[in-house]
Amino acid sequence: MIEVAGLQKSFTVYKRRSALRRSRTTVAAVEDVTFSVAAGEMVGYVGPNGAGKSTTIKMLTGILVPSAGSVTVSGLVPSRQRVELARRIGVVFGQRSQLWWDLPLQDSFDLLKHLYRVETTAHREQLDECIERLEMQEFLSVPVRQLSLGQRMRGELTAALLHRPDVVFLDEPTIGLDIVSRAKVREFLSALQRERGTTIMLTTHDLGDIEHLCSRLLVIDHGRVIYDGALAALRDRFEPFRTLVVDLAVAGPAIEIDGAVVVKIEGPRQWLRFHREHTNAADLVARVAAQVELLDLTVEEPGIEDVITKIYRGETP
Amino acid sequence: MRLGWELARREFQRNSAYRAATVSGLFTNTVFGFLRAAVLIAALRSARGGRIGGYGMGEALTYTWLTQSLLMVVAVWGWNDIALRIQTGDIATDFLRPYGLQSWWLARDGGRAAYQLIARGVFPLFTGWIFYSLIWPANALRWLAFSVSVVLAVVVSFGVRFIMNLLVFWTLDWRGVSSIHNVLMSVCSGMVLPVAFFPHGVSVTLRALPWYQALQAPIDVFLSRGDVGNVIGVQVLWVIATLAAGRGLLRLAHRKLVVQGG
Repeated sequence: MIEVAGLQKSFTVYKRRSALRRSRTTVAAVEDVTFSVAAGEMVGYVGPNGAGKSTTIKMLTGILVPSAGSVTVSGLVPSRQRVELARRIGVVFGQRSQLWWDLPLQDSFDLLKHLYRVETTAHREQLDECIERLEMQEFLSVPVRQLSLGQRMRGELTAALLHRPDVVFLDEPTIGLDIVSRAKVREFLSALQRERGTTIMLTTHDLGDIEHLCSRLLVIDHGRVIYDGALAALRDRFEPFRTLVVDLAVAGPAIEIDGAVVVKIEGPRQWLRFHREHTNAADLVARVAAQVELLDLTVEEPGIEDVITKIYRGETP
Repeated sequence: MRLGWELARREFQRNSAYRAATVSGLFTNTVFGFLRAAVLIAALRSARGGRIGGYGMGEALTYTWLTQSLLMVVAVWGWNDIALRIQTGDIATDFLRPYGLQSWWLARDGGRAAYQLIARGVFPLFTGWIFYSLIWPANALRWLAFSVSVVLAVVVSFGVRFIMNLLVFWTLDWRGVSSIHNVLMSVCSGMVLPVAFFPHGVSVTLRALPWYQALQAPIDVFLSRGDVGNVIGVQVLWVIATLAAGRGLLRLAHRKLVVQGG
């Protein structure tokens, strides 16, 4: 559904040297991005600020013209067939609105019917479904400028989906939303992918979004894809260590044992770090128990947050 | 076509949402109408033969109240809806629609102009009619020609405004573009003074430029000055030229587009 090969985008930036002189430099926002997304997939596109996420999305949707490389979305070349592509895709930019600011939400929806030339019954059906699932009934006749962010976002999502697009691009769709609105949006998106098989690509900084929604992750940094795969495998690859936390009956010196290292001691509690592949957890527990008397124990997996932080900081193998 | 109508209709509604702005604008328009009328009356009284550039008292007063009626319709003071979207980066969402950007805004401008014509156009002319003796088109055909000329004036004005707005892709700031636009528009369109008041060579030149088509042209049709077919013909040429230039500029802008704010 989406094919990207050797994609690049650079911008010319002017820096002021003095009152009259300025120098020109070229900044590569996207340096070399290659990936493909199959129909019906839900892919998370993550990376630190300025990594090139939004720029990639803008090239995929035909807003920006790539400096080099090739892109096809739903069989079309976005920068050349922008208008045609616009009929097949839905886009939500969390920080921008495509709704009509001064008019009631309902009016924007009506206009979209004409814009995408959707049949009245199909439009009605789709709209009713969105209204019900996103609980929008009570604010349909309120001008968009008076809506809360959560309400507006639900409106934006609906606006992007009324023409039943094959592919949906979401650029930070949950930015600034409260927990309840966020959960509602996530639920809605996963239903969209599950029930209708819509291909969804979303950029986000919200790790909850990633954990709840994306079976596949594309991690981008400095304009390059540095990871492409499942979330679980990302953890295995970038954070191969687990931690065994033990509460001893009596506080003592650091436990010395093969295959694990004590990384922290707090009174009777000790943290032992071990490699997930080299050391078996059950075996380690048995050996520790044979050495000291245990009151309690837990095995901790690294949080996805830690993993991503590590990647963003460049502490990757 | 249907979409164009729907867009125009909503823009009309959107404009009508700001009633206080309409009323205060109408008041200002009318007060300025009296002021400008007084200035022109004084100028004509002191002129040799009581005429300037072929304008007698009737022409001058009709000109005054017509410009007061049309100035909002053809948006003499500019319009920066697109420029603001470029400055904030919201223009990105405009490129996501399965519809040309120029057609989209032209349709909306039609709705805006229609609202301004009804809300701000009728009353000043009516005021002029009550307080002064104006010159009216001689027959229905002339009224028809005037209506056509007003529509063309709105489109040329849109064509020019569209280009000025797109320049913000390069300048990234509307203020500079806006001051140039305001000077050109107020002087060259006949807003400040009738184009006929300028020395012959200047007024002939101005008549050939796009700004004249956006305001003075329909007034000349109304006042039966010059050949109507000629005036409307030049307007049509400028409609084509400004829209085509706008479209070309849009293509260039898209190629170099940088979305502000990511």
